[in-house]
Amino acid sequence: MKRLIRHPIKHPTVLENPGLLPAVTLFSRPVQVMLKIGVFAGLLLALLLLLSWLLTPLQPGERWSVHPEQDFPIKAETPDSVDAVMLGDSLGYGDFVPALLWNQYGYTTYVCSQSAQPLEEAWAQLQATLEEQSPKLVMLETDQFYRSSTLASDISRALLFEAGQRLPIFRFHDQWKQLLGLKQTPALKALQQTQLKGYRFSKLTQGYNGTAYMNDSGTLKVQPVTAYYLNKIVSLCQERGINLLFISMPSPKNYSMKRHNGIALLAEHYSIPYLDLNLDAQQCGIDWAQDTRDKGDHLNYRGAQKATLAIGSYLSEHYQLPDRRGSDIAASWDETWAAYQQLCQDAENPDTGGDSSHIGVTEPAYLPASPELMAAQATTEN
Amino acid sequence: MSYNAPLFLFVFLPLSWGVTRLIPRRGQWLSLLLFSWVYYLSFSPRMLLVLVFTICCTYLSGLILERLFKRADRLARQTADRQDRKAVKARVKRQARLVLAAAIVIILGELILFKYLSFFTTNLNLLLSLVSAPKSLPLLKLGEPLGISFFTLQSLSYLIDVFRRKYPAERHWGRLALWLSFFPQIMEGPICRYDQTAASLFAGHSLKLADLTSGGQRIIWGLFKKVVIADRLNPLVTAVFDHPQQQAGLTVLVGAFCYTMQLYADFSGSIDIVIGSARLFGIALPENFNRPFFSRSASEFWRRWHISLGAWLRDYVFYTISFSHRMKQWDKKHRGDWLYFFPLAIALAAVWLCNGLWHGAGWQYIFFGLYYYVLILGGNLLEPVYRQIFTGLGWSRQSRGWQVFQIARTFLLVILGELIFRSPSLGQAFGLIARGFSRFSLTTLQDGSLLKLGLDKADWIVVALGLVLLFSVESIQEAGLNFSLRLSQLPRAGRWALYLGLIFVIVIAGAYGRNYGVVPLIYAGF
Repeated sequence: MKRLIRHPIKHPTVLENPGLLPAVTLFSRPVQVMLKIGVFAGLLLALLLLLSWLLTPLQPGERWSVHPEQDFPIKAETPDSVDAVMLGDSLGYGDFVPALLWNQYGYTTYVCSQSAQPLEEAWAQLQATLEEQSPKLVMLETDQFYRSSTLASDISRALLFEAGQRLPIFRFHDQWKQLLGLKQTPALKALQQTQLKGYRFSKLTQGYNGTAYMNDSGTLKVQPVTAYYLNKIVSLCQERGINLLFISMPSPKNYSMKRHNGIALLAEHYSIPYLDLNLDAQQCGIDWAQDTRDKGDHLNYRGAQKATLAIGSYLSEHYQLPDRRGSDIAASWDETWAAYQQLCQDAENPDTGGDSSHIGVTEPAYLPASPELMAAQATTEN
Repeated sequence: MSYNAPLFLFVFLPLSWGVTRLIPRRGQWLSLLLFSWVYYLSFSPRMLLVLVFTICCTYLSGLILERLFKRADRLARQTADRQDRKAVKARVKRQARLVLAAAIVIILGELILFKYLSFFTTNLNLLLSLVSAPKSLPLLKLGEPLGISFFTLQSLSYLIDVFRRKYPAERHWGRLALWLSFFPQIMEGPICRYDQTAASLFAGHSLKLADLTSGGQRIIWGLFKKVVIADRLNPLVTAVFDHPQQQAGLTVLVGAFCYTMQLYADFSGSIDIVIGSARLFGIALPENFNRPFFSRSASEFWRRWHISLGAWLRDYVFYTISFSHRMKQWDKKHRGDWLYFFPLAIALAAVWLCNGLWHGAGWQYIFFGLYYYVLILGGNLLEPVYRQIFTGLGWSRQSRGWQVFQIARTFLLVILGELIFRSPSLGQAFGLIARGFSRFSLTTLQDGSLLKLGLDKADWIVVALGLVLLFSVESIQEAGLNFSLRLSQLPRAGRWALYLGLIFVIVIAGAYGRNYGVVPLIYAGF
């Protein structure tokens, strides 16, 4: 009797006539709840798939095409024209100057870097690079090995990256800005970076006080997520017969002996050569009062020249990269060298105050014409 | 693992929810406790020891207090003489006060050690250098345990309430441990009272669609605030406050406004996620915001903003001081004369010093507290004057115009306060205020300066539309409409379309992914 009171019959009419039983009551309450969650999740997935289809940048000329070089700028290069790529974060694109190595050695190098680039992005950049290029050397700037301090934040970032690989809307969700014409496509700065083969010019100078920063001890190991993607990069390079080189650009703010030791351990584990320009930054001529743009975080154009030439010297000594000067791809590289020289001259010229807005940035030929872009009198923010 | 991180939203929360749901109701608390500790471990394994130590200290101190009180009750029952009973109670009260004081010293000591030691050491060294002392104190960097500012306040509130015999001490260690460690609230609060949430946390709950719907709604709304508004404003706020010397006056003021919006969207958004996450487990956490930008005075603002902190300071600092024996005596002695306000001034000073310091170890935070102290005390002192003026002029203080003026005035005062609050140091706060008003020029609006601070045209449009949506919803709520109720009355297709629409906005307009840095939860840093 008590049992009956605790569980009163809720649908007497239904019990009297089972034909009236609604479909949902075939399931228990928790199953009903889970079914509703499932239907909602299905609708959400359909929405995300639709958005991915709409907003993913396609190949040039296709409907909705939105400048794919912003994601992988190296795709703007002639196929099989790049012999070495630099993968890294802002220490990659701010401190390494491909134009210099072209002028000095005839090497065709390219910087595939983004701000705060984590290693999974480097992995994506490498995959995109290898679609049309066959580099002989991949240089990994090692600051990206220590992108976050906790495993949880590393996993979170990697989850978002992997989601973006499967549902591209998570990767290209910002494309609406360009579709609606609310953002220059691509930004002048990105164009300039493309013209300089991935290098971002900076003339700012904010000196570093010069305190020694490589005098600590210990070893800072990389997080498992970083190790996972590094393993993938190493495997891919081995598979394609590409040499790998770890490079640490001079940066008191980002490097320490602890980090050096952690990277050296990895280098030893994978038998990859490791060039750390922090160990003796003065040897490559870095003057911390003049050569950094933000108190020892990044180098400015003067520091980048010195670091790049030191790397060039190392490459010429240890690798057999071809001299491509005079080849059929030389014109594009000569333009890069000219643009770079122009920027340096403007930066040194007190009359222009280092204004580089008139640099001859040209839109890559494969892009659809956008006259308003070229008319824009935007200045570079460097 | 912030509350808006993919790892939390798509792995940790569903996993903890699924596992907890599979366990019979009686054992759900254990699952929640274990997941809470795993969550804590994901930040810093070593710092979990600090949390466990706080739990042990709180638990044992509570039991000792309870035992003392029980003994006093027993002895009092056994004693026939009234005077003896009073003496026994007084003696036990003294002993209990000692136990409470010891526990407070330990828990506050822990907070000082991890949060304020380097601030105090730096300032002591500065003083020592002024008197040309030959030595300075070493600067210890111990790191700050996650949520220490929140769980220490919870612990203190529990012990004080047990001392005040508001409720008996908890005998089940698990219930207390879960209340202090519950993962959705450990990082940013709300600072809950024991009698508010402990029972619900421990009880275990059956699966209800209403909980899931309500929790899901709050999480989506919180994500909208955090990812679409707060994180998108971050580049501008960072540019203005990290490079104050490069900013024009209007840029500084725009930066202060944007930071105020960022802080609100970030903190209230993450609290929405917190409340929503707890609700998925069937647990109702108290609200921490009540549309603060509709406040008509600074004191009302603090009753609507970070409600749990304001209520904590009111109950355990303000009331403790203003209802103390000495203050009561003062009140009796000076009723009617100008010194009547002294107890209020002292109690408010303590509240705002604690409020400032709670937010961080820095002089700008102390000054921020002082700023509100002056505003609120001034408001109290001038209240009779306002009343006389309004009566004299025959104006109504309830008129629409006056209310709008009060809301706008409070809003501007809050923005000025946040300018101080966000500044890297007190000196820079003064510099920014001076710059904001001395180098003010409207040409900044035309020369494109505002588009060079990390937000392009599209970002500004997103932020503007986001704020319009946020404040439209709040206006409707402020007018008395129950938004959740109205939403639940819509047909399912309409409701789902709204949910999917908001998710669409978050996915498309959110500041996340490869072109954006990860912005930590702002209040987790306090």
